[in-house]
Amino acid sequence: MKNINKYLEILHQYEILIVSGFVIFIIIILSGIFLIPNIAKVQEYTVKKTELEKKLTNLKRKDSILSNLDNQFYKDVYEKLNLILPPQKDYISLFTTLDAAGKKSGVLVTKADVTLGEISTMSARLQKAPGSMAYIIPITIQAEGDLASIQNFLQDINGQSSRIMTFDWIKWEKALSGKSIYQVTLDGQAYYYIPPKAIGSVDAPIPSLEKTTDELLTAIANAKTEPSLDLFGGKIPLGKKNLFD
Amino acid sequence: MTKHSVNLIIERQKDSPFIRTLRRILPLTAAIFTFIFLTSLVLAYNYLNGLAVQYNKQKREIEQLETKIINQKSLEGIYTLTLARAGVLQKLVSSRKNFTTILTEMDALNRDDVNLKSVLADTAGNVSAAIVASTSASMDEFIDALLAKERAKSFSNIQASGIVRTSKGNYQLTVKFKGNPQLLQ
Repeated sequence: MKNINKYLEILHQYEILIVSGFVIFIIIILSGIFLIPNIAKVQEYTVKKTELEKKLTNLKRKDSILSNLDNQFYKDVYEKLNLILPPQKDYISLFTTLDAAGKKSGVLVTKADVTLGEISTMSARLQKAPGSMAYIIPITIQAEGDLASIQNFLQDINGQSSRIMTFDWIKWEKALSGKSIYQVTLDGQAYYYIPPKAIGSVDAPIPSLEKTTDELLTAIANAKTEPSLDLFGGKIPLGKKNLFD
Repeated sequence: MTKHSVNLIIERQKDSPFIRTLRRILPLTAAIFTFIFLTSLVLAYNYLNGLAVQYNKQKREIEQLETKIINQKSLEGIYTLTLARAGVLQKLVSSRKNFTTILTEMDALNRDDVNLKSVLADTAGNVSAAIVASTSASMDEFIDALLAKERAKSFSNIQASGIVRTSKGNYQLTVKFKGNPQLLQ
């Protein structure tokens, strides 16, 4: 009984200290239970919100670009681009380009030597142009004509309405057929480009249209497609499946 | 009868200086802790609620935009593939050399008594020409014309080699020079 009284006395003497210490202890415990998880949640939400803001900005930008696009313009340009830089080797368009340029300029294309490569395997697709995503088809062209028509021929195959070709060298010599007639040999490459099979996810950023690209697309849209390329309305009519039918 | 006074109050023990300091500081600390805790809790809850509202709002906005973009998937496909193809094409077009100007420049060197038998030009601007001149005077004239082109900065580094006089009295020579890169633009 005496001991209890002694403890009560001490308790009474230091009650303010004990209560204050207890309050501080409880506050620390409550902070651990309620406050710190909330602060962690705030941090988590802030990080998530930043990510969402980034995503939202991307989507808004993408939506703004898509909303301002002229659907018909891009459909037309895409079709024309398929002729200029087809998704496969497409030798037909290569020869029709040369025929059309020859007819238009008055040049006689005497020879077009195209390296076919391994057409039955995918390995032939592996030869890419340096620094480019396009695949190459080596080509050598021989043509005859006077100076003006050869110049027109060169301008024509350098135009934006037919199959793209680049030449590494040109050789011209007087043709035997006439004094002012030249025989020109051009050695270079035609190209094709296999586009990606899938586009990015819905929130993947969309490329913006650079000024130079816009100018190129406008030039392509305004360029008149070679009649020969449009001969079959973009489709080659198929004949009989069985020749003996 | 005399009166005696007896002090029944227990004499208070004097606190040490440390305890005295604690008596002053600890209650104040507890009050400050409580205040900070309650204020932080209210602020954290409010801020968290605000964040959650904003987060949900942004999420809804994103969902709406995604639906809108998905509906334009075909246009996005055409646009992306067009730009990818145009990018490739642009690189090819910019690397392409045009030989028409150099052809014109060389044709301007043609003369009645000088026959440009063949000319070879590459994308680096290296030009090699095989020439047959009927007389030495016409060959000189041709060389002068070439030098004039050099002065006009069209050609540079002109070199003539393999000058041969044939049995017919003609002069055969090979001329090599570098064409101005501007001529290939």
